[in-house]
Amino acid sequence: MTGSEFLMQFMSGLTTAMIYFLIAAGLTLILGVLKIMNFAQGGIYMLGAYMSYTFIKLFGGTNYGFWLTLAIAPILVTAFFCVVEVFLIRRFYEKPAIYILLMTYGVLLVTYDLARMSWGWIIKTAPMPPMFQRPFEIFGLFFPLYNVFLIFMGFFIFFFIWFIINRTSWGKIMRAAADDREMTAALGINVPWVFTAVFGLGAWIAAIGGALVAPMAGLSADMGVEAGIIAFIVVVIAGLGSLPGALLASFICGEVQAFGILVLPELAIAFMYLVMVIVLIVRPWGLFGKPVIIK
Amino acid sequence: MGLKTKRALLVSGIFVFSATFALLSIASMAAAKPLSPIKIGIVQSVSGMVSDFALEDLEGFRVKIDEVNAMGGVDTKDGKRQIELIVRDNKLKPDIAVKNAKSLILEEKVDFLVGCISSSCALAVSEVAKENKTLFWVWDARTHHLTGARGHRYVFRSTGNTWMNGHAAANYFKDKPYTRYALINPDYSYGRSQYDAFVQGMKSVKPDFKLVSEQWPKLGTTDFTPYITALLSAKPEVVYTSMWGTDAMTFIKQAKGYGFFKKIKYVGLFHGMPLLRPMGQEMVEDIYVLTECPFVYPGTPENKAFYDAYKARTGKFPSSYSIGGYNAATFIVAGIEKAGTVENEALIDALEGITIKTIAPAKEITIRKCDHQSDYGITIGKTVKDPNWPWFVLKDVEIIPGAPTMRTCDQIMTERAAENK
Amino acid sequence: MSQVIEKNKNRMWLWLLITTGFFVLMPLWAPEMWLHLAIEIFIVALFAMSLNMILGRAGLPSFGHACFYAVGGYAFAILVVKLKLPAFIGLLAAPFISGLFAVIIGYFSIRLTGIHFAILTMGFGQIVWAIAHKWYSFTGGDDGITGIPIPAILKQPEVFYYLAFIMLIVSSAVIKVVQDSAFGQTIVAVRENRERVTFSGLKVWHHLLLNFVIAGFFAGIAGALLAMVNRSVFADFGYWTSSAAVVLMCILGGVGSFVGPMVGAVIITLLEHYISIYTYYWQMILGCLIIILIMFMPGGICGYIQEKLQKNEPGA
Repeated sequence: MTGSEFLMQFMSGLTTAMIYFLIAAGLTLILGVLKIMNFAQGGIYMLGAYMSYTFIKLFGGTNYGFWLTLAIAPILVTAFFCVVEVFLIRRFYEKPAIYILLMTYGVLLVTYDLARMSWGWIIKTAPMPPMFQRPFEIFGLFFPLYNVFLIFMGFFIFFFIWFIINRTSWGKIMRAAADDREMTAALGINVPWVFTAVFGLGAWIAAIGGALVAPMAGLSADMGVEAGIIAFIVVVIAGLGSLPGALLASFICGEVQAFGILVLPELAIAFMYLVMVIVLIVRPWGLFGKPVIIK
Repeated sequence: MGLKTKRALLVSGIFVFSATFALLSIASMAAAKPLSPIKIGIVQSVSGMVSDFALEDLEGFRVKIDEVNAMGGVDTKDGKRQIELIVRDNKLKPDIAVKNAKSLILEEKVDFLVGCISSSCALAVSEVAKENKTLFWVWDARTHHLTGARGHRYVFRSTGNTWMNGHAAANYFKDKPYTRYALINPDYSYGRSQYDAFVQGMKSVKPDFKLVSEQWPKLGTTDFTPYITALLSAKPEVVYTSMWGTDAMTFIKQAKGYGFFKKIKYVGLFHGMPLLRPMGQEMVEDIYVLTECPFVYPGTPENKAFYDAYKARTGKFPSSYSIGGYNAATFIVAGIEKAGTVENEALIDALEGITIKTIAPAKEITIRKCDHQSDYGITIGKTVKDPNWPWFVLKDVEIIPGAPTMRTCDQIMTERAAENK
Repeated sequence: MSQVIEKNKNRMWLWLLITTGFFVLMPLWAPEMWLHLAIEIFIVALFAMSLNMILGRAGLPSFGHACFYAVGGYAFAILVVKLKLPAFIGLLAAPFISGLFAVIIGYFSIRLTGIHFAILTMGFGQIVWAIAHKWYSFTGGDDGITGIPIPAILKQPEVFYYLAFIMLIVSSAVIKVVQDSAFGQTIVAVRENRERVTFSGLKVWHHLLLNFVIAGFFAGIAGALLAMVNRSVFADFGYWTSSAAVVLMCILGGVGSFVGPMVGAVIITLLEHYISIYTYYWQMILGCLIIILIMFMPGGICGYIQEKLQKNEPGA
């Protein structure tokens, strides 16, 4: 294998990693702050993709149409899921975990059929914006420009959430509410709305992940199921709720996938699971998680 | 509204709900008509990953049945009988398919079963059919085991199978100058069978065949970039694939950015209408497509009549899946007319060795007597932009006959004997 | 107070007798399809009851329970098809193999609670699914194992009906005995207050692990029975949606009650069978059902009825 082929494969792995991260980051945030598992996350991602498909088509597949879509479509999906949070999920934060698990599963099923009803059965794909229809050259190698954009967006989303959580007063409130609800409420902060905001932010990230994937992949209602599993595996490897962990886990999964298929192509389907098995046996609480062992 | 009223409402709602269901099911069981129609039970995956293909082939089947019903029904010894279709959704799960098959046979008292788009579903229902001595007609599940090692008297298939597809592709490449091949197939039983068939076929017809890379992405992969770069660095001349649906779509879109199709001859199995239509102008020119019936295949009157009937029924143009469904229904109707009855044993005898005309390029299809497998041929063509259509169509269509790609009856019988030992 | 309990107990026995009698006599008059549905219900009910030992009694939200179901089915299929053992040996051995898997998975996950437990069990469940889905030479991959030979007599639905029924009755009796024993009471005590039980000097996680293994054992029986009745087994039995479906049954029926999971199994099985006849959008209906259930009847149907009964009993 030559150096340039190595670099190509590495960049491919990075693209995969960023898609994994975009899918899993929202779930990580929700897990970390709200301490709930959101099965509907895959459904949000799928709706984000379908919604972008509609808007990109609406704007005629132009460049500015693509930017407008990125701004509008995820927000619409987020708004819908904020309503879901307020009416269906909010009241169960203090109840046993099983209720929210099952509730979000129910929401996932409804989302799935809603997409089939609204967009029909036939698979879809959004046109690639013209500005990305050329290669990007580095060290004499060519990559699709969109993949480079995707990698950039992955890092951008990471720093964006990291900044919100660690460097803004909003983030402080979120962290406080996650640590101690009652104390935060006693300080006069409307905790339920903080939670809705966190849920909304998590949904927005998943929806934007879907929106970014829409021009480069085929869309079907089932894409959410696959995405849900990817998000799940990434957060397990990362340690529940750790954002840097999710980035690292995505990176490991992506690169293991990219180089693994060169050596053992017939195991392509299993690499993510293999990484998960190793992590579960060595560090059951994940790479960046805190041990939560109870005697 | 108080909590109590809410609950009372809910409980009464549930009661009404279940009572309605109970009544409906009793009503459907009690409905027995004087000159009873022929009942065909359809086990199909109308929800789940392959639902759009499943619906397309179902519509094709219905077009034929509608034609027959509009002419007063199908001729039997007792006179003309209408045909009624009862569809059950198996959600792409073989265990639900088994339950549906039982329910269709026992509750709905269907005369025979058709359907199943996935191989695992077809294999599972095939067992039910064997046990209940009920005819089971398959046209979209492709596993060659269905009519091969696991075949029996009660199962038929009117399309090709994985074995035939792989060998047809190999026959196509026999005289071509390419020697370096790479394969990319979805990692589940369908992709694996297609891989085996192609590799075996190539080895038997082309001694200088060299497999430089094989890739096994998961069904439903969102990101093919690692596979694309891996294939590129193996430097094959031909990439052959059995990916379908969103997988094929995603692969083509992502590979386009790497200039993949300028460097490599890409041959896609069943990349016909179900892929060309949704991809629209995003498709790439000069991709080689294997399909049983290319879109706008030379417009014979029968061909056009079917396209119009299908368009009138669904508002869409048919794909090779729809034509597969149409062929299957044509076979069944021809069989009933020949036997004069739907009594399964007589019908099976009538169907063995039967030949029908098809609108597909293969022109004629015959069910072989020994294994109930059809000799449906396949075609290969090149994608090209066409100003008349919003999607790409195929040009330079070549026909690859089906019969030479089939295993011999002796081979099949030896396999069956080994399986049943 | 004690009189009321006595009265309820008598009433319970009466109901038990009526339902048992109904099911014993069912093959005499019911159409064959009902028997097939009933067999499926018995199997799924046993599966749901085994989950309730973890979900309801121990209060641990398992989302990977279907993997024991699948392991049971595969163990049966592989023993019978590959090793050519008689079916009844397969049926005997399958639950032990499931139990063995439960030991391994339980060892890692049982020390966790709540969401962490859910995710870890789901993770292990997915791994088992991935192995079954991928290991073609051993599990048949995604084609599963079909055409499992079983004794000719069991191919008659009436006979299999009684087999499944007896398995359900015996298993639920054993589960009942386990739940009422000191061991079972400890599990409930752990659910209510884990710390207190720990301070009392009991090795809590030994108890929980044993409970987890027993649950896996019975799920294995259910899986083996399902493989027997379908003559086939598929990796999808162990997929996480299968686990979610059985969690739904437990919650719908009511986790706090012994018969709850059975009630849930009956309703979901019938609903799924009949809904999908009338619509392609069955997931929408199932999803709405889940949402309505959790919003308005979090205690499940049995919890709801119990609540009603307690309110109506004067002096209770």
